[in-house]
Amino acid sequence: MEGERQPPPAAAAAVSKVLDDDDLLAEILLRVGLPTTLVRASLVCKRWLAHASGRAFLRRFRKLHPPRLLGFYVEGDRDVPADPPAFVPVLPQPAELAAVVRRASFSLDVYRVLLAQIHDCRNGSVFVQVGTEGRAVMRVHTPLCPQRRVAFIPPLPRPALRPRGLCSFTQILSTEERGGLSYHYLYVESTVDKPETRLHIYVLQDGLWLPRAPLDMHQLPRPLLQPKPVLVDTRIYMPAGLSDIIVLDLTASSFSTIQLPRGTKHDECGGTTMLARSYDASGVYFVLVEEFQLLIWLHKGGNWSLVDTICLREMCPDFRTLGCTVEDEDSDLIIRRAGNDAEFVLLQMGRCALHLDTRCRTLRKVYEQTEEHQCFGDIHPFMMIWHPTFPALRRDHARDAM
Amino acid sequence: MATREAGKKMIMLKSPDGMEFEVEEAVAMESQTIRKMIEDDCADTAILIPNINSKILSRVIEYCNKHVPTTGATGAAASDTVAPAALAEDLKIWDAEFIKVNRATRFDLIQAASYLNIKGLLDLTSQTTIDTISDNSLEEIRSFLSTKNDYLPEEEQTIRRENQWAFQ
Repeated sequence: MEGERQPPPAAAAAVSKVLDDDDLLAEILLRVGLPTTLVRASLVCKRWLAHASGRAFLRRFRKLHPPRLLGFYVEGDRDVPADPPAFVPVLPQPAELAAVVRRASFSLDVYRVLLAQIHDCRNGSVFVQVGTEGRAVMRVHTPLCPQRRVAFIPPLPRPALRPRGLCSFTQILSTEERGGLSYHYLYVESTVDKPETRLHIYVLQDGLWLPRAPLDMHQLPRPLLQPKPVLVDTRIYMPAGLSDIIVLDLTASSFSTIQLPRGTKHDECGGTTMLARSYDASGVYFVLVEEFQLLIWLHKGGNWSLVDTICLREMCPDFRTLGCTVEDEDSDLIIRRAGNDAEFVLLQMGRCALHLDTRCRTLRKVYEQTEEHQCFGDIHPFMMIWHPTFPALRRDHARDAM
Repeated sequence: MATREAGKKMIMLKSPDGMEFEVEEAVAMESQTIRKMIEDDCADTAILIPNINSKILSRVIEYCNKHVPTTGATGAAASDTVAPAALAEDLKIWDAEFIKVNRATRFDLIQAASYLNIKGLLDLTSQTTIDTISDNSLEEIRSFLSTKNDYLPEEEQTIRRENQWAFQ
């Protein structure tokens, strides 16, 4: 395509008629597609910055261009120090993102002789535990910003348990907040004789894990053994019982429950069900894979609605064209991860990991277990950062108006 | 003013320089702005399109003519017999030819596409500008798009520092 050249006066008039028009400039900036390009565009002049950093604009931009999956960290055998999590890029990516993918490929090799385990991976930040239980240190890496210092996090706290209390599971939960991420640490305590479950929750604030008062789950269904809870805004959604979701409102410290969509239940052992966060904090998604059919429900305003049904067989009649083997194809599909708004789902089929983009309706193989990586551990999607950080500048009055 | 020709409803579009264009209603309705006028019944006579001269308006109509979905027996191109992929490919080639215009025309078309709310045309006409932003240095973008840098060096540095991931 023809590139732009220094405009002659007649053209310059036409150019400024378009670019001086706020609505048209916004329409053009919306179409730049990649956050990296948007940041560059914001540097053209302050008026462009004012557009690029407007909240409504950023919302529209994200809706049009959901953050891309750059790759993911695959954990090996957690008990083998020589097997640190490896970054697997999802290719191809646009040329503009080459540098980003290269940076994301920062390897955790520095931890090769130590045990490294990823607890959380969100918006460019990787929460890593290094070392064995009891002597572990916590760090948050930001591989895309190599100049930023690695954040040291105090060890995960251990609550005082009741007599015969046991830890049934723990999880780091993160959520986007203004100016960064906020981390919660959820520690679920159960007891052998009493069915009552107690939740211990800590919030990471100014480099300290601050405890909240423990919460007893009176007469609520028991959480699953590996519930994979999600944190949406100020609510934790935790699969429990056969077909319940326990909702903990962190602001009110109160529980409520919601029932799964009619006719569905959690798949505790098979891995065919999973919750997913909604990006705008409006609700929670329930994803279910049945044979080759993927169903996505959204719980919003007290009701479930089936928002998508995807037949993988229709998308891909023969999985061998993706590079899977007959043996893989004979294995059941398992959901390993679901992105915000279930925009993507990482599935496992036999030895392969498949990436399903539910918006673009694409399915591709992104990983295959190798001889040396016999153990297909946890996988952590690594997404493009969203949104850019636009500092407030002086004479920046137009910004809040947009 | 609406007339009928081979069973198609026609509509008259007028440019401010006095030219009149008779087009099929379906073609005109590629523009969401005109569609709304027709649906709101504000368009039983000719529709005056302000700010868009006849030269640009005729190009816009040309675009809409090509992009209007062909319908059944009355359609100009029998889309039933052509595979959708081939049709899309044909449109892409046509678009690439269509957009080989000088810069003033292209920016006039951006303005027209925006006013008339024709998404495909806006996507097409703004692509070169988007490529300019994607492919060039800041100085080049500013020079190509006649924009002045009003950043203090330290302000520019702050944005770069905060979004280090966006730079090589």
